[in-house]
Amino acid sequence: MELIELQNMWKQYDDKLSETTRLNKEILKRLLQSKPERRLNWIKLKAGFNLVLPIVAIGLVLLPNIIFRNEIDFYAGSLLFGIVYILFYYWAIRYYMLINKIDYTNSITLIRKKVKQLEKYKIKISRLGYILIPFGILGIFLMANFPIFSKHSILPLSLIILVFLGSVYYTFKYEVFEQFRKIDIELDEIEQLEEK
Amino acid sequence: MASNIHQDYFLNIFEQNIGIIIKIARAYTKTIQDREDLINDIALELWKSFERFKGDSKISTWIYRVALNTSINYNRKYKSSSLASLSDLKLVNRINWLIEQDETSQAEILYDCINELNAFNKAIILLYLDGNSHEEISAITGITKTNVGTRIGRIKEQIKNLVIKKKQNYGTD
Repeated sequence: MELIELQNMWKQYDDKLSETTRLNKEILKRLLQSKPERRLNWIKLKAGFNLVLPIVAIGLVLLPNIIFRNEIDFYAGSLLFGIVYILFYYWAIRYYMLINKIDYTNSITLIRKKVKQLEKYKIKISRLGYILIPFGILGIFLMANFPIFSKHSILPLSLIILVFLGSVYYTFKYEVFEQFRKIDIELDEIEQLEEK
Repeated sequence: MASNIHQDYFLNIFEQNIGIIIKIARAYTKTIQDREDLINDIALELWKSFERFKGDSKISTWIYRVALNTSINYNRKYKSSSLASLSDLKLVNRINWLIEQDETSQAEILYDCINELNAFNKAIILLYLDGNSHEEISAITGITKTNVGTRIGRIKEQIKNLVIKKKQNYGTD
């Protein structure tokens, strides 16, 4: 079978498609009027929810359980937690904005590259998140005046640290580098297609 | 009033090019439901980008780009929800604005073969079979003209072998 035969098969299919496909313009018109608006509203609602949720969570969970103390521990804890929290918040917003900037009218290679770079960005922020989470937790402990090195706390704290370290080890050793490697290969391939 | 004229103009373009959209959606999905959802998505992405379309490129180039990018991304979002920013909405209407007949078995074989290709090669062969020149394929995909030629040669071989194999499996000649 030669390519010309494939093209003929395709042409026949195309002709048949043109003959048999009919559009109901009125329904499509209504769909175009209502659905983008609904979808846009949904995206806004979701974005709003994601923006408000962390603030509500802090207001409802953290603030009622922490009593202000004029001590260095409290300030240090607030600073640690605050920095981690703001960074997470900033990354989430930036990621969302980058996704929404994707314009499908660009060429396929460009969109693929952008999507791959976004994936890379997501992995990077997850990796940094892993590194920063212990500092955030430490900040909460300091703010709450949690007795870190007491007889009662040493067992649950050790368990938390163990699980955390295991998870970090697995993620970094097997997942992150492999994902980065794959994305870099794909990016190289796309660039080669554009350059040669 | 102006908005209605704008919409009618879009609908005319859409109707004239519905074949392109159906063929692309068919190639990038495996089930009828997915295909219908994808055609809906493409229609909406086209509508959203219609205002930005200033006629710098051919209408078909714009339609191919949006349709192919939406299709490639559509597959992605079902593998991972992380990038599904515009697609999380589950209120997908059934595609009741489109009436079409079943495809022929030959087209089915061809699509089965196209399905075996990766996303890029799929896009290239669809554009090629639709009669686009190497230059047009290059403009739509972003791949250089030389690479388009090389790729088409390779895909041709791949498709040839696949069609023979599929035809044997289907028991047709």
